[in-house]
Amino acid sequence: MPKLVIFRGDAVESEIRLTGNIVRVGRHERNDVVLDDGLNGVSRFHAEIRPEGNAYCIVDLNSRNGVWVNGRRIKERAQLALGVPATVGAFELALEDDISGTDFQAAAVPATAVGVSPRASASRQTGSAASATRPRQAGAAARTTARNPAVLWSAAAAAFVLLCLITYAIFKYSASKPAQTVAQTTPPATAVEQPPPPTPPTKTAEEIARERSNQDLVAARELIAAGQPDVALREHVQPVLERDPDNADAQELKRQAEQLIARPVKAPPRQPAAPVEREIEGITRRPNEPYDDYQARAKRLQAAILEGKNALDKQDYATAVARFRMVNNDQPRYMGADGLLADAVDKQRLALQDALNSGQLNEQAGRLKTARQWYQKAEYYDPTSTAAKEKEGSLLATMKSQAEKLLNQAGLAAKAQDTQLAIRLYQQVLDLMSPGDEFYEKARKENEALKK
Amino acid sequence: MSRQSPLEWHRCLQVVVLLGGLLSTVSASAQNPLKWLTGDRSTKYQIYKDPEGRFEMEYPAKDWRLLPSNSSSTLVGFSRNDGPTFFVDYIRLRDKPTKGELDAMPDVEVQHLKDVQPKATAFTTELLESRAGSGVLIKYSRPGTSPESVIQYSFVANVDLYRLNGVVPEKQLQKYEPVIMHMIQSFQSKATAASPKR
Repeated sequence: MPKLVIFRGDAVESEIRLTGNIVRVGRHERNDVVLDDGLNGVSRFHAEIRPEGNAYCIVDLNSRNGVWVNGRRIKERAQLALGVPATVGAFELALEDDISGTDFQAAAVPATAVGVSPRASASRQTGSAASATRPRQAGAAARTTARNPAVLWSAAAAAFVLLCLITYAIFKYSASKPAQTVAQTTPPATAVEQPPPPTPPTKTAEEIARERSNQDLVAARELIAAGQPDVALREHVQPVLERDPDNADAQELKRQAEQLIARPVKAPPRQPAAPVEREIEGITRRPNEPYDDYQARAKRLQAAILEGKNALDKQDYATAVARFRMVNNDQPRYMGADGLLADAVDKQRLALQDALNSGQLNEQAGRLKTARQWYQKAEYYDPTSTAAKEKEGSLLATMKSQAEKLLNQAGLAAKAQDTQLAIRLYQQVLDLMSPGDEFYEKARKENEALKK
Repeated sequence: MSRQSPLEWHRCLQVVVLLGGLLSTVSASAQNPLKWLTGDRSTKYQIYKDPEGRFEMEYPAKDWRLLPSNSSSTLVGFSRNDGPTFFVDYIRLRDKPTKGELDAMPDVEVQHLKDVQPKATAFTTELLESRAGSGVLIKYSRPGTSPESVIQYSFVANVDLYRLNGVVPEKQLQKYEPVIMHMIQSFQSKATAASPKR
């Protein structure tokens, strides 16, 4: 497959493989090969390389300085011969045989997409391409010989043999080394001998009897304490005295048990007296209000005061006001409910106004999402505020309208394969709206799909 | 044969003078006299037909050359002596756009231009109804070897997005703007011709 090599002076500017399509050459950015010598020697649309049967010809597109082949200006068109350059401004275009080219896309795209500007050419001259300097006419044939497949195959075979030798040497070297490291790091697997369990000392019959007596006495004491002296006497004290009639502890326990058995049965304990129905300070008991209900109400009021104070600390003014109001309505001035209520209402009003102002300032500055957050905060401070509701509703409508517009723009950009623009626009929707809002989910899905 | 009285002659003369005055006032206000009424009659045009049959358009018969292309531009046209250039860019859309998407087209097109030509300035947009259908006409300036004015007309025909670009050296804008506009207005795509106007 032939390729078009573009020279400036002796340096190769670029190469483009010819695939049978027309290649337009000129100074303008819309050409397939952009050539700009900085001197306007190349016209905007200077020439075209066109396929003609098995050959290619160069067609002059009425350029100002013309196309020159072999020192002569061509008349409209001329056939391109291999290695014979055609001059376009300060550039020379030569057709060469490209036997190594199999990957057309990789080589052709940079040549078509990037203009060959004078600055670019300077940097390319330092490149490591084999054809960086220009052998005139006959040089093309020489370069073709240099790329003889036989030479390439020989070099590849030599490299393969060398690789095999190196691999063999590495294996041999590693096999000759003793494998010490593993043996050193593994500890010897010797079993540790466990010491034999200690043998219990042998007891005498006397010791065993004493031990049993002690156990019986302990049990007897527990039973006496539990109010079962008869069982203690029969089961535990008597056996001890049979074994050892002189056991003082046993005799003492026998005496205690007998005394308890002889004592008359106690009368059942008296029922405790009914609690006194005392009033809680600050909470008046209603006429005919059962005491239990009164106590429950008092507890509710106390809890409400606590909840209100906690809510006030958390700037939950709506809850605070509701709790204090409830207490104040039920039991005016209980635990300073009236003062707390006034304070909470005052703070609520100030916070609401502050939130509304902040929302408005952000809205005017175009920070719609932040503005909405402020309006939502205003609603949180005072859920009954119509101003907060109206402002948030109006802003949300604006935001939805903007989001819809952005979605439409993104949709069209995506359909027109302008992926970057589409992603950017979907992101704007995500930045504008919050999760759960209309359009947010759609934008998120589309954005993810495009990014994949 | 009736004979007109001197009073009737006077009236006729007054009407003629009035009409003449009106015409001269309107003509004087325009750069090119009577062009707003008659169109760009000073240039002769011929029809270019796309080899693949997708569209046709008129272009100046003299000094212009149109070249079909298989690169990003479907068609490249240019005049001699470093005059204006004209490109037809064609993009096959993935899907037919919705009405909302078509309404958003001016913004998308301007955004696209700002992305690909960051140095471009002075964007103006207007909706334009042409033979090709409803589209958006965008004008902007950009620096080049010399400052250039660009007139772009973008429109969608079914699933085809066309961008017609006229690039004129700023100094020659007055001379060539009517030519570029004529080329844009004469453009007709096959899809537009086949489907009724939206």
